[in-house]
Amino acid sequence: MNNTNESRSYKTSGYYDTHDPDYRSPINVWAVTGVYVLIAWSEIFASVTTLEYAFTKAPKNMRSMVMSVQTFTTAFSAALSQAFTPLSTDPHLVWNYGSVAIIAFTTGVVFYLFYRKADQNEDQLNLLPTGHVGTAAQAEDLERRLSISAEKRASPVIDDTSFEKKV
Amino acid sequence: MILTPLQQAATLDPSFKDTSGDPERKHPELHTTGPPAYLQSEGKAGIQESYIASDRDDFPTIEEMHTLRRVPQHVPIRIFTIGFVELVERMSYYGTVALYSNYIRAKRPTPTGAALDPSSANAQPGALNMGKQVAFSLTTFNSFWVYCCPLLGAWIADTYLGRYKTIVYSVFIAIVGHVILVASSAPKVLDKPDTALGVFVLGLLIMGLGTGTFKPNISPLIMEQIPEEPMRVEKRGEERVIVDPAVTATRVYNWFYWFINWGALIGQLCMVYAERYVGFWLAYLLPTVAFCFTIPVLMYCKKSYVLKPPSGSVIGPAMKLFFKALGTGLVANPIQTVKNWNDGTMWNKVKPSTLGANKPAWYNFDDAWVDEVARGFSACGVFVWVPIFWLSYRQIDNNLTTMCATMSLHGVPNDVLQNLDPIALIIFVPIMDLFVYPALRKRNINFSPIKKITAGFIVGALGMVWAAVLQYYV
Repeated sequence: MNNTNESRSYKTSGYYDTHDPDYRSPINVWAVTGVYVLIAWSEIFASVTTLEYAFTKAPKNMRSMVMSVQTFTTAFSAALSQAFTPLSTDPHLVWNYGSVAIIAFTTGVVFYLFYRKADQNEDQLNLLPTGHVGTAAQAEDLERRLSISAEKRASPVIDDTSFEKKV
Repeated sequence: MILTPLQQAATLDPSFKDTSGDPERKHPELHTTGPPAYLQSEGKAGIQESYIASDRDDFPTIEEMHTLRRVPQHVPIRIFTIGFVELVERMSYYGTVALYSNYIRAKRPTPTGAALDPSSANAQPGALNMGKQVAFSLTTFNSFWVYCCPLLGAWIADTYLGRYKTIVYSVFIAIVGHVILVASSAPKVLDKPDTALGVFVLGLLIMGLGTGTFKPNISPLIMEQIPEEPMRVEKRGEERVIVDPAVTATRVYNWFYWFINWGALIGQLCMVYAERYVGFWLAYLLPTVAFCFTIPVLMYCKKSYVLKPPSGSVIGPAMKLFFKALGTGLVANPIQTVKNWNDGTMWNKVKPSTLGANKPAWYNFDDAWVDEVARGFSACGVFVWVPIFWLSYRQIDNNLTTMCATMSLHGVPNDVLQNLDPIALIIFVPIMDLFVYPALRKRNINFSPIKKITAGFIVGALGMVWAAVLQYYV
């Protein structure tokens, strides 16, 4: 009993203690701003960077595709946050935020350890040359044309394509 | 008439044109001459070395890469017409989606759905009165739908249409979706809630299709407006600096995000007021009208944009190549398999030059492309981690709003509280790009993408710690 009173004296008492729907904590609502500012910063770091990462790391002919994978993985976060619904009632809410904090922090550390090596190759990765793709038939056709034009340059004869056009 | 090899190559297939993204050749300096590289290289790795170390004398040495300050390329202001298009699109999207929940869930207080006493704090607009469950399922489905359609939009753009055309078509589709949503909110239609719901779901599907196919194309398009070049050393006054395209990408996407958040803020504020004071028809109509302004902008600016041609079927070969590469590491022991996949040699084993004469018939690319695909897949691996980051972001959607409701408001309007995230971003993006990032680069601190994403996880976690502590005391 004593304990509860003590804890109440430094807590501003909670909604779940009073069960009064009109309960208002005396803490100014601007205290929440800190959370929003930190989340905004984390977005600048993580979310903006994924856009940048998708653009610079995609094969040059698949940029939209890699960008869409980036968008698609975001969809999973919606499903993931559903798993936390049981924690979003009042007595558990502290642990809702607490567990998200622990998970995010741990993931951040593991993520860095996992990609430390790739991080050191960042410049090399950005400097990769452009690759080329074409169908085999196109490649053969191209090679044939190249060899024909090389032959023609070697021995200039009557241009039979212009003859075909006249007919 | 004898064509040069390059001209011949160009008549075959757009993918054979050099990938400088300038088919009309307005910028001659962007173009290479000679036959396409993949024939020249005969699939050998040689061409890569010559490309990277390059015959350019302004290419930085390894030492310079570690010591010189990095600066972004020049970013022309006109590329932000694309930022404007994104702003309007996001405004229409967020403005519309902000209405869905009230529209489906709540009872209709007036014929238009506007609240009975709009200026009161408890003003509750509503329309269909279908309850919380239906509202929740449909809004969840919508967020799933708009994140799946990008795959389709990306495939169409990369394979057939190119980014610009896909964007224009998807804008038209989205406008059709918006118009259907306006129809679903006409007072006459609202008289029959079941019909209205049917029209609404159709509108939601079509608008989501438009928005989804738009999304993965607009962000590469903006960055492609900046000439692609390898990093180079330049003299700025007395100082020698490295002009680094990766730094340019950071700058461009920061401001791109700034535009996105202006769109989100304007959309969410305006439409919520329109819904509360006038009704749903106006709240759905405003985004529709705004969206129409993107068409003249896209049309007018087209001639000044650098547009890359689509490159034909590349996604199929990329997937085949990925599975072939995984196949080379596959052994009976799963631990050994994972080790094989991570030892860094996996992709080298499937390069055309490694396979030589044994390469399969569907191999129609060079070594350089295999390297690019490897880099692309490893980037996708990075994205697999990102949903965990969004977990902390999603807490501000509902839980934090509930927390605000139990605190002393001291006259702070609720609408400001719900939009604190875009407001904070609008303030901090310029500070980061103009002051913090340049200061870090000046001190030669390499804040690379992997480090930035890690920082994002940690700062997000700190935000949650703040929330937990606050929740404890509230």
